Amino acid sequence: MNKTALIIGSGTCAKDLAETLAASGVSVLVAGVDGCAPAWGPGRTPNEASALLEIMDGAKIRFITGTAGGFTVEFADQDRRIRREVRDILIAEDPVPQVNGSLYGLTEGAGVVSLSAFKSMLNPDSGNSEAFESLSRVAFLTGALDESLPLIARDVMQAALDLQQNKGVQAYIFTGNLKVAGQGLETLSRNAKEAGVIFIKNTERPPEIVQAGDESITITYPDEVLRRPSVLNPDLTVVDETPLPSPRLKTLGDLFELETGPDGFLQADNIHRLLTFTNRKGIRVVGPARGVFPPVLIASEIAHTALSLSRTKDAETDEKNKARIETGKCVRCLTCVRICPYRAVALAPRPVIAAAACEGCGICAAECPCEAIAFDTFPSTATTGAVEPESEAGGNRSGASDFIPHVTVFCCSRSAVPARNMARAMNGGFPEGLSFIDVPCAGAVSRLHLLNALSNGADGVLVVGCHPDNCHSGGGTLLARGRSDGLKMLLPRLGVAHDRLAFKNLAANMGAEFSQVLEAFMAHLESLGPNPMK
Amino acid sequence: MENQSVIALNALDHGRCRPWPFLQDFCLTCGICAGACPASGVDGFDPRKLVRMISLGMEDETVSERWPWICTMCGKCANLCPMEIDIPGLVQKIRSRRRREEVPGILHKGLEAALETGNNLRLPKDDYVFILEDVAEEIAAEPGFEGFTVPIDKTGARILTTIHNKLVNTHTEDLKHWWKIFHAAGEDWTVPSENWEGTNWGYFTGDDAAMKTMTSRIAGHMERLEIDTLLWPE
Repeated sequence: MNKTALIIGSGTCAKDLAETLAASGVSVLVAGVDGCAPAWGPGRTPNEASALLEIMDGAKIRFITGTAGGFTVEFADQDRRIRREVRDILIAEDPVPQVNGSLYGLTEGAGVVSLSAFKSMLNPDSGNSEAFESLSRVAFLTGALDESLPLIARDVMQAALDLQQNKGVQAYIFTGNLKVAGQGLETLSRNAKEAGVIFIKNTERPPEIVQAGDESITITYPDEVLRRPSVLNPDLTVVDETPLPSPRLKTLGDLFELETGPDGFLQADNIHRLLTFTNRKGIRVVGPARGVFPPVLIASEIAHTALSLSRTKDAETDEKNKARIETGKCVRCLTCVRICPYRAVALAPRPVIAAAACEGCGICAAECPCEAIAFDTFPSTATTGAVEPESEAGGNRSGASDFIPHVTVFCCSRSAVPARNMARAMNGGFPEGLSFIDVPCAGAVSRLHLLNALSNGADGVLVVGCHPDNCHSGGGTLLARGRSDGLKMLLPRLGVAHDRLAFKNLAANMGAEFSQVLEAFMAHLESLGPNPMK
Repeated sequence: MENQSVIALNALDHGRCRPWPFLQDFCLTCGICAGACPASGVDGFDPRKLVRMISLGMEDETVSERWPWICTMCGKCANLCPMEIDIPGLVQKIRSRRRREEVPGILHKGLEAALETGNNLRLPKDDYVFILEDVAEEIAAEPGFEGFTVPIDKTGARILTTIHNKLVNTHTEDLKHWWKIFHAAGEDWTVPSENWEGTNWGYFTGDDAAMKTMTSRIAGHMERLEIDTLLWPE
């Protein structure tokens, strides 16, 4: 099986990731989505593992097909078309620093520079040492309007310390609130102070910064400790930058149909995606592609990725837990193609389940308007009614009447099932009258499941799924709640009380709550009496 | 009244007080010192402002302020400071930077007197001893304290104690409280006949040499009278 990995990125992270993977024996292709592969620098060649490292410089990615374990990438290099097969795709796109000059009302020029530009000036290789001879006071602006980013605060403090200690220049750091929650940052701030860097915090209102036509800057602010107006005319002002997700991430997100985070980075804010996973098996996002991290964390993430790849088994194609499309019933509406959170339905040209990518959540089956998709792991809509009530000893009931409600409980495998096991261990069992139907995801419970249960002997139906930000499928639990809410509105027209149907969000460790929910629901059903649909 | 004049950073040499060993540059401006200080708010000042001014190199302005002389040196600020800044040390250093003629009047005069005569009041030895024995007689007249005497310069006593000048001036009655405790406890105590001053205005005015002189005298008593425990209420 071809074990080549494709790394998409055009900066430092992609480069470091490529070298690390090649050094650990993985064949690596490196490309930029728009043709800009990372630059290894003039005269600097990749390390000795270069036999395993191929740089697709200048080649744009046109499209990608396939699924986990077997992606096909097509590149366009001017007129040439190049196709390559890869097993894994790793997105490692560096963030783009946005200079915050305009935030402070400043334009870059002789008296104002960006943090990146200043760091280059400080670099001993840059040959800029005379530039510091004419400077006696330098002001750094970071998070001056609110709070500093630890990552940027680190760079600012390091630059200020260098100035103070090695260049004999007085440094001032203006900030709204200095964040030192990061490895070594508190020590760095102390070292900077010890060397003589002056920290000025403006928490009540930002300093007034005026850039005169002749490039001279005046910073006026009320010192919040001394409660006196203060003024500084620095020889140079360094404005900080905010690392933003690269615009290439949007292109890649669209190309791969990846879940996006709230801030534009390529990973949903969902713990199931940690560390570098996405909604698509075989595609990972590394380091700056999924957030803003300090260099030490990116380095450890690269090492983790190399380890993780070396342990990834070739894609399982065991059909047992996968969706099956019955082609006779499929009308090619493409609902499954669109709704699958894992992009596991390919068009070939009719909809076909990409088994390597399918995670067996069941959402497609629930959404299919023709009931053309089936699973072996849970009953399809047509067979729900045949389930017998499970009778177990133990559990609590109010026991006020002879009527024992029959309740069908649909249990999500990641939340309700473990919670149920916990409840069983705590209480020794459940009351009579319960039937449990386990589903991989609450999203697999369709409207027909619910209606069939109600029309085939259940006095009440309960669906238990994960909390909204905790759903492995992303939106499965929300889909299930939506179906349940929609059906509750229709039930009265069938002469059925809407609260015979209930939906509950629980987590795997909520055994006590699972029991409480069941007890409360059964007590309520006792008061409602038997289902009139029976 | 709070100073409202503009601070021009360009005119300051922030390295001026950097060599001072009080860790003042580590200040986080957390304000715990200002919260604890009993003199916070007087003249619009607090320990945090003081530390900030020194960090900025505003030595001249700080030395000429009244507030460093209002500080009681209680030490609550240093006790609580998360960065372990020695604020009382800083206050003392600031006090020491003032020309001696500009030290608040009574402190400087009292110190001169103490250096020359062994007490802030220039009280002669005979008068001092007379006052002590007079108070002792009054105690001895009270029921339960028959035979009370004040031991002066007693060699080999267990405790040597000093005397604040006000206790032999305006507050002689206060001597009785703790002399009675000594008596009731059966304590073996004594006071010196000379260089008995309990305050140390060398310490108070940031005059290290004077402080050392005053302290050495007490230490001298301990050696001379062969006493190894000192009760120094000041």
